[in-house]
Amino acid sequence: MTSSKAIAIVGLLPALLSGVAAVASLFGPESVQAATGSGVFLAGAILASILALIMAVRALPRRNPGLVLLHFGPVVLLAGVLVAGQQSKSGYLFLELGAASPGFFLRDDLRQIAELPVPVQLQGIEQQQQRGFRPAPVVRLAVDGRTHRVTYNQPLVTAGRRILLGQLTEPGFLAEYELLVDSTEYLLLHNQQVAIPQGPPLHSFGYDQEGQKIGLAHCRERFWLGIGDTATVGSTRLVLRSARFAANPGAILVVNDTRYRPPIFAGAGLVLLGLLLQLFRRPQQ
Amino acid sequence: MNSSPVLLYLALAAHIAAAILASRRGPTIVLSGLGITLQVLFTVLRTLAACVLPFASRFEAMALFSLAIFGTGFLLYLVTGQRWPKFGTDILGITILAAALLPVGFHPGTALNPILASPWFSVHILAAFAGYGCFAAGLVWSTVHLFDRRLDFNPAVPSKLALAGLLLLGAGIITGAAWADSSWGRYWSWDPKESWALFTWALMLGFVHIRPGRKLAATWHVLVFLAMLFTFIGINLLKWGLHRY
Repeated sequence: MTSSKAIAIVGLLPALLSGVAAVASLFGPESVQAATGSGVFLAGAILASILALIMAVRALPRRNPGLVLLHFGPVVLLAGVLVAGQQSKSGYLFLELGAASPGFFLRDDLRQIAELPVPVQLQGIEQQQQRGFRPAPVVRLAVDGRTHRVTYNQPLVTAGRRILLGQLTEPGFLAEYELLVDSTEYLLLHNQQVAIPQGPPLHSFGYDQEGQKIGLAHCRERFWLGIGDTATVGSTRLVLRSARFAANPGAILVVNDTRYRPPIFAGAGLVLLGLLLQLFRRPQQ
Repeated sequence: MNSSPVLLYLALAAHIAAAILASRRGPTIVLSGLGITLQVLFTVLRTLAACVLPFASRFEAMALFSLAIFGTGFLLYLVTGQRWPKFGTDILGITILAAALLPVGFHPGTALNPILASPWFSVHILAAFAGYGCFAAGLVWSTVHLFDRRLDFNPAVPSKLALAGLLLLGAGIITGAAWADSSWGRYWSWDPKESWALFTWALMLGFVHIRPGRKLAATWHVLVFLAMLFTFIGINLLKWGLHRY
């Protein structure tokens, strides 16, 4: 029979870990996202869940399906998170009104780009009014020859992706820019990170269409570069070759890869089902 | 269109009367039932006036929280017949409702952020607050039994309350994740509200693993309640993350 102390220790682990995460989240969720998104952490969490499942099954004096489901659910959920983290390709897409589909979008790691599964064009921007709510922006997207209206909570579902409305942009939004990093040329989207030899990656934080300048950030250092200007970060030479600012209004859309999500919610559902069975379980005689 | 707070003031009066008459079962049941009915009626009328369920502002959330506490306390009283835990949940609920009506103040319904226009919104909020109500009732139960050793301490009661709370708050967390996935594109982003709701849930999960006696049960429920208060109110007051109102 598994000791009650061992059960208590394993049972308190989720509270301990989530407590640390909760406190850390107050200072910004990025550190928690990085720690919990790593393969090592997820693999460890899955192993701990399997251990808890084995202990729960061994501790049962008689059949208790609720308890088994309750401990099996997290295994399924965490395995789903691991697979989704490795395989799914989600990110951000900027579309300018009337422009052709870019064919790619910026991954949510803000470093790589990925191919858009289907061409998407922004055909129109309007508003809709629902009783009880403030007016909501609506974009009309053209996909495969058909027009779809997309607004908050009403995404476009296509090719295993959900395309959600993020925010509208004004004319003058920084669409893309060319940056020479030492001898390597990069075509970058706004906010996209680019690795440099010294320290963390570099990314744009702001833009000035009138002055034709782009604000770049590296660690805590921020500086502005005009087209043709040169800057040095450590021993790395940066030259801003060109920048394209959108001539028309546009929209930033979220490309959400949901193909690998079902196991995550299925695992969570198993936990709830297990709790329900435990709640209405008759006490043992 | 404004909804009058008169119904809530009447509900508050009914709950105060129920607490005063806690020793008499019949009047307590009638008055508590009346108070709960008036609060539900207020919610229905405000929904009809604003065309959306009233769960978004701080005032509305506190009113809903008090309703969850009164409702859970009432059910607990019907099942167990113990008047002191009922008195405790009444006092807690009265405090929350009075705080909603007085310092926070009554606010007429206003047009909401369109990102809240989702069927997930109501389910998520109702489930989460129902879970909070169960945790609050567990706190009262454990504390009352700590101070009155003559009462029959049935460990099944706090255990069942904990399981009900875990189920309901868990449903609230999962529906919130599903909503975030379809609305923001991320089912979980370690937002402070999300993280502290998960921590509250996990803390209660620890409780059902350790099977404590009276003293530890009361202490544990106090910790859970404090975590819950920080999740519900602290994050909003400190204006952290997206989940604030």
